[in-house]
Amino acid sequence: MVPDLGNLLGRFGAETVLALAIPAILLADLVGGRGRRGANATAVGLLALVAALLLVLFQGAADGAILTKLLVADGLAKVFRVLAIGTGIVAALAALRWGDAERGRAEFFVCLLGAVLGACLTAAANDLAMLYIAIETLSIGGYLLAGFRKARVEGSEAALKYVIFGAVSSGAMLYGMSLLYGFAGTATLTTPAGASFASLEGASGAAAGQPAFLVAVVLVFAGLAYKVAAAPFQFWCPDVYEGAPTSVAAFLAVASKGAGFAAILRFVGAVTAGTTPDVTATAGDVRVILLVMALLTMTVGNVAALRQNNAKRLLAYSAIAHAGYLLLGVAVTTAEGATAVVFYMAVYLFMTLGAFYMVGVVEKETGRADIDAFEGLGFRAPVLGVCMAVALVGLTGLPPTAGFVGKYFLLQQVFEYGGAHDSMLFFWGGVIALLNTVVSLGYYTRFLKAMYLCDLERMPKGPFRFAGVDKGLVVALTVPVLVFGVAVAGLYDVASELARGIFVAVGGGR
Amino acid sequence: MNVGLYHYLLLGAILFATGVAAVVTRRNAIGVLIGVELILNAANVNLVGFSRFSGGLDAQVFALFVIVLAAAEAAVALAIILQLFDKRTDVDVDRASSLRG
Repeated sequence: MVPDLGNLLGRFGAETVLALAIPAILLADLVGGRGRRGANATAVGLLALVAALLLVLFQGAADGAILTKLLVADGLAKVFRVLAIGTGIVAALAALRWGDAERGRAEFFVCLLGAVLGACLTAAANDLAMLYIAIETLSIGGYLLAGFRKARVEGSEAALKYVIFGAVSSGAMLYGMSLLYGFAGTATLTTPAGASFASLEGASGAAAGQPAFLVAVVLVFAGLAYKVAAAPFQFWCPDVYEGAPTSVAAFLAVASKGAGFAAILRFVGAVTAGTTPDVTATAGDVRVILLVMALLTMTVGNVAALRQNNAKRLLAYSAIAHAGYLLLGVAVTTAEGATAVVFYMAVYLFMTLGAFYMVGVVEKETGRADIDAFEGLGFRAPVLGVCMAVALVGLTGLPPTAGFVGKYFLLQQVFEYGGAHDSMLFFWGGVIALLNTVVSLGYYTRFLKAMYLCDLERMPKGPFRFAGVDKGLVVALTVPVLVFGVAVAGLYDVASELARGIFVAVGGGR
Repeated sequence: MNVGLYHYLLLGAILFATGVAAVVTRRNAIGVLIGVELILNAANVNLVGFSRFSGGLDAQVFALFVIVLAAAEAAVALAIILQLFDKRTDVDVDRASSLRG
């Protein structure tokens, strides 16, 4: 079979550009010479990222075509690829601003582009082998980036924890995948004919319905939960975000998590699709597992965040909690649930990148990443104060920000599912999620208190340098949080169009 | 004795269990990595076994990719371990605890 190269390049031009840019960066660095501090490599890297973003936005048809059996070009792939590349650009700019890449610009961009490429392929993978390779590409780039600043022992330690936990969980995921291959007789998640992965018959008989099928699915969840930092695989997350450069932490919190959620949506869609009794029984079990995981994740994240003083650690626990909220949208396995996940992920991108960027600015200026470092910033740097306040209100999920709307959609799906299927589990799950939002108010407001309600006598004197570039970027990341909160209807339609095709074939359940 | 699919899967399961045991009990980072290699190879044995008995080469190609990725992952992990060893002179995963809370 000759793959249709024209179609492939037409839909996955961005990935081609990223893959070609990696050797090009190394070559550009050699040509430019070491004296220029990797200016050539930086230029090639940034150019490739921007080109890739434009290619996905304007060229990538989202028609659901499946290419070479391995990749699918649907709306879900498109939105999560835009998200990954966009985050890559912000992380690259942040790293350049704060000198996170000074150990070697060329090496930094090679790792970053590799990770972005992995994230893009993860979002589009339609095959277990492709999914594994893509996730490993993303992870290996992430491991190297986490330990990029050699001078700090915390950086090396963060990288060690990331790589050890990552290797173990991806190993478990691979073992699960090998069993799934045996059950289904294929590694393809969705065939062009729309055949369900779960109802196929492989070397050991019909897939779903066998107890070991569920075990294999859970093993795959282990690897995917690690990528999105969901409990009980979240232990690495605070340590890595604290020890890694702030730009890298922001990348891991958004791009890595986004790619993980794209993979989870697609994978759960594939194992729950079908109407035979065996498949619906399995789908019911998968829903319960996901719901319990979601509730555990958000509770662990929110409770642990309450007693953090380091802003990066606090945002890490906040990122864990948000993985829990997002998992709620997956747990209901409905097209509306997938839409809510896509919508919330887009909002989460702006809120989290903004918050991390501002923590990075403060860290750079004061040399500390504690909440105390934010003392009086509402008065010393009004723009930063307002933007941080918007991001935090959004992360808490209060109106008038998009964070409120996103969380509303997710919770609405959970309550609707609980009502429609008369499931007390989902009803109480929604209640617990609501209570979690209240708990999260407890730690997000600590930033606001430090910024606006500090002792004016104790406030550090002197100006707070907040460069124009940083200011522009922070404002650009904050405005959508407010705009999305107002222009809801249009955006919901877009998200719904993008998430079309996920969970359409899921039968009824408990 | 005929070697059937069952035997491949049993070997895979034993390798997986050994790998998990190594990951859980070893405190040296290198020991943990060896455990991970066992887990990856358990999956490879499964893949090759399924491929042998159900036809189709997809799984064998998958296994080849896994071998390459395992090498890449091990190289990165060893580099990170060496970097920590430079500062710590030990690679005990339990003692890597300057980050906590």
